[in-house]
Amino acid sequence: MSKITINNLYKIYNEGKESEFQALRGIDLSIKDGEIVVIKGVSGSGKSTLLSLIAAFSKPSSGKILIDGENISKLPDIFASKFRNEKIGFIFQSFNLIDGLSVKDNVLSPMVLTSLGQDTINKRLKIALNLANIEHKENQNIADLSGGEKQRCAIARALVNNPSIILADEPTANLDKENSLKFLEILKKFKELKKIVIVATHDTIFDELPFVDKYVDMSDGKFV
Amino acid sequence: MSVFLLDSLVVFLFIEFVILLLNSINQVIVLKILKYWDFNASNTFQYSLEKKNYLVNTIITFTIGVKIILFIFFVKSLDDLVPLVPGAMCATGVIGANEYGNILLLFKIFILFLLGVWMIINRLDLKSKELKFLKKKYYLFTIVFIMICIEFILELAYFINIPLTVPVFCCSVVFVVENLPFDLTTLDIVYIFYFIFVSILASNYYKKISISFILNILFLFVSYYSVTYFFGTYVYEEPNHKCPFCFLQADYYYVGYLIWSTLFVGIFFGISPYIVYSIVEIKNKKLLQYNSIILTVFTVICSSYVLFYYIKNGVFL
Amino acid sequence: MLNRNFLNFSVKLLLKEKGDYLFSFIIFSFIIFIVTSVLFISESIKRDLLVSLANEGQIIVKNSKGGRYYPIDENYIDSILQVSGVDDVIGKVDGYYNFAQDRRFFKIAVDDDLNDTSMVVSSDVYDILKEFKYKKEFNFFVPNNEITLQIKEVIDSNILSNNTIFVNEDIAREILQMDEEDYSYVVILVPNEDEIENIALKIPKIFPDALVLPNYEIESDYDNLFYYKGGVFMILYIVVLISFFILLKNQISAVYGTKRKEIAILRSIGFSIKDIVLLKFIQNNIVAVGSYFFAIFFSYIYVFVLGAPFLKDIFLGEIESEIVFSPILDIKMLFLVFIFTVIPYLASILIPSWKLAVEDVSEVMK
Ligand SMILES: Nc1ncnc2c1ncn2[C@@H]1O[C@H](COP(=O)(O)OP(=O)(O)O)[C@@H](O)[C@H]1O
Ligand SMILES: [Mg+2]
Repeated sequence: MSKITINNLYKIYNEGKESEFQALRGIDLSIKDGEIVVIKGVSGSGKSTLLSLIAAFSKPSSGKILIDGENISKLPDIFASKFRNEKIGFIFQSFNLIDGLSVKDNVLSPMVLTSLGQDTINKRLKIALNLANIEHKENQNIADLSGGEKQRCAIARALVNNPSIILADEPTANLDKENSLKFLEILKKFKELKKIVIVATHDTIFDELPFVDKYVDMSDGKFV
Repeated sequence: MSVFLLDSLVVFLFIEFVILLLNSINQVIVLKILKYWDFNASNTFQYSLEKKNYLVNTIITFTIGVKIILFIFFVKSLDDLVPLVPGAMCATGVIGANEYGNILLLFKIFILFLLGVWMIINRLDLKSKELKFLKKKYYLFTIVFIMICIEFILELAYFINIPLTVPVFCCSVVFVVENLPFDLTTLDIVYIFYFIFVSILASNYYKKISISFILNILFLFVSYYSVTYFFGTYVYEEPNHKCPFCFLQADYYYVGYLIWSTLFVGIFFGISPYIVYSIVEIKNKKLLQYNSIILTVFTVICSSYVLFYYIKNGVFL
Repeated sequence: MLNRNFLNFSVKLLLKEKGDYLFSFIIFSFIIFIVTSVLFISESIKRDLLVSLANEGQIIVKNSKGGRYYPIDENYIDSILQVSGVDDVIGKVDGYYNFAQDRRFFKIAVDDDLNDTSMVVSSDVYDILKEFKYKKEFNFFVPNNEITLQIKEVIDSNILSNNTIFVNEDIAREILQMDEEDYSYVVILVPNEDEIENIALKIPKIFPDALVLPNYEIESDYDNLFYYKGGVFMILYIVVLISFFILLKNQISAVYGTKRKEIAILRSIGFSIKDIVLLKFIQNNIVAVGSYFFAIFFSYIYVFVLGAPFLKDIFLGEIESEIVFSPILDIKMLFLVFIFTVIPYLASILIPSWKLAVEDVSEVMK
């Protein structure tokens, strides 16, 4: 059985209003454990919308998203949040770190919702910082980091709760060539860790990577 | 001179009013949710109702906390009124100063009970992935809201009608043995008290929620009489001082708060499983354990006054 | 849910944004400060009055003639002593001396530890005497006589001792021109509380002119006075509070408007709406309870160490500005202030917090 199954998914913005817009029009997709999927498409094709539905940030207008057999788009907020906290690690184009906190506090922020002991938390922190290659900046303030470092911090945060699914929305759009290549290295590590990764991008750097299991092209809210 | 100028009453009524206002906002939302809630719909309107659901929960949870604090404050404020009400020596005289006082007190306790039940159902509701009990909990809240409105009116009626010139009765007059129900003697009541207490422990042990429910209600009444007419006299160490309020004062180390709160909280855990079951059909047997533990604390506190008196003086009162 | 990690995190975020809360913290502290100071002053005065009342007897009897106070003579004392239940009757002398040079009255009270040449004055009296160059001694002018007394000691003037000169009983009689067997009033000692009312009812039957004041009546007079003043103040203060809470709600809403992105980030990593509301509740609790203790601390210092400048004038008038307040920390009063201020504070942030919490999570995608 697939880990993620998406069925005839629609997302209509501003439904019933004059500005009504169909961002997703009947998406079907299934992803197995450990698969890496790259969704490609021009800006405005609906990639971000799709990822935000998979992460239960918002709810679809119709259709289903089953993850581990559960329709996550019908979950009440408390369960949706718990799902997000435990199973999803999200890497954003604009990093979305909390200004004014240190790298460590940012990385640990998903863990404040757990009641784990200090030892376990520290162990998880070390692992995540290590995977994302940012342990040397542990106590720095976010404001003092470069773009690449910010992203690695965001990656560490996405990994800290050991989620099974990692979503990345335009992960290289704000990075230079060198840091973009570093991201590909991390992507390879994800593959080794057997995580599901879905990358939404229009960056050609992701083309024809040997460890990617599936490429899908998106246009006008549909796969082509 | 008006009691409304008493600073604790000004504060009390102000906060009661704030709570009433918050809950009125709440009730408007609740009615909307009751009318339009459809868990299976996937439109924005349904999602906005779901979000509002959290606002309502927040306000009610806040209300519960404040109501508990205000209840204690209310009882303390009655003491403030004692010097103003002629003839009153303790809160008995003040609360009995007109026909609204005792009803108001019962109302307050009842509202707290219902809010407690609401809280339990709310927890069950939030634990279910379909928000199964949402409508039921809001029907229950609607009842509570109506009661809160009546309570506020009762409060005004009570305070307006507190006599400042005509003397009121005090505890020595109100609580005389002839007032016991069914011609029982004080000693009968005490035997019944211990008998029911042991029965509750047994019923809780076998997790019979409906039997525990009935026994707890009986125990509430029997305890009221036992504490007022029997255990209280040992707290005061005076055979003729029978009063459920005097031991709330500093002279008795505020032990009254401990006695009454253990009784009420204990009883709450005894009767709520059955009420919750009859509303949402879930048996919450763990609460019966709390019932046993807290009522045991209550009984031990009461009994120890008798015991220590006997050890000290070698006789009973 | 609520655990230590969550609490620590809430505090960290709060410290990061302390500037946003500074405004509400300061104004709220000031509001609590005023109400606490007023209550401290009135509780302190009330306490002093009640303590002095407890030191007197259980019933005070004064004499009147034609509706004016009139001295009581010795015979009264003997007759009252006959009433059963009365333990003792003590005659007291007090009154006012007209200090004509400054056109004011000083209160004359008795302290029997003093000899015939000395007196004790309260600090406010001493200040006035100094203005008229009486630094060591003072001359009382009475018809056909002049009494010179050394100033033996200057004491703090509290609500009872202020504007008072203490002398021994003989001197007091001379200054007040009272006869040997006359008293200003008498106090009756009644050991059994239950009999006070009965005795108070009997005395007017013996002396129809007597004004009888049992202690519980004086006590409730004091209570009435303070309840009345306190209550009017509190009602007026509600207006202040309501305006503040409307202001607070707007200010918090504005601040929260700039925090939408941050909240969306938290939501995206798994904070639920409930968690965000809880987070904001914890933070505002810290601010409100912090202001509360901060304000109480400063108001204690302001009233009992600094003597409440400005506020005292409003309470007592400028004449009595020398009064010191006896320190008092009444838990019930602090509880009252807590309920009056902190609870509506928290109530007024509930809706803005919720509004912030239900912001669209997709905000993070922009
Ligand atoms: N909140 C929204 N309200 C209205 N339209 C939106 C909203 N978010 C996205 N859209 C529209 O949906 C379409 C798809 O957007 P998006 O999913 O962000 O595409 P992509 O990530 O591929 O660039 C775009 O045309 C965008 O204008
Ligand atoms: Mg996009």
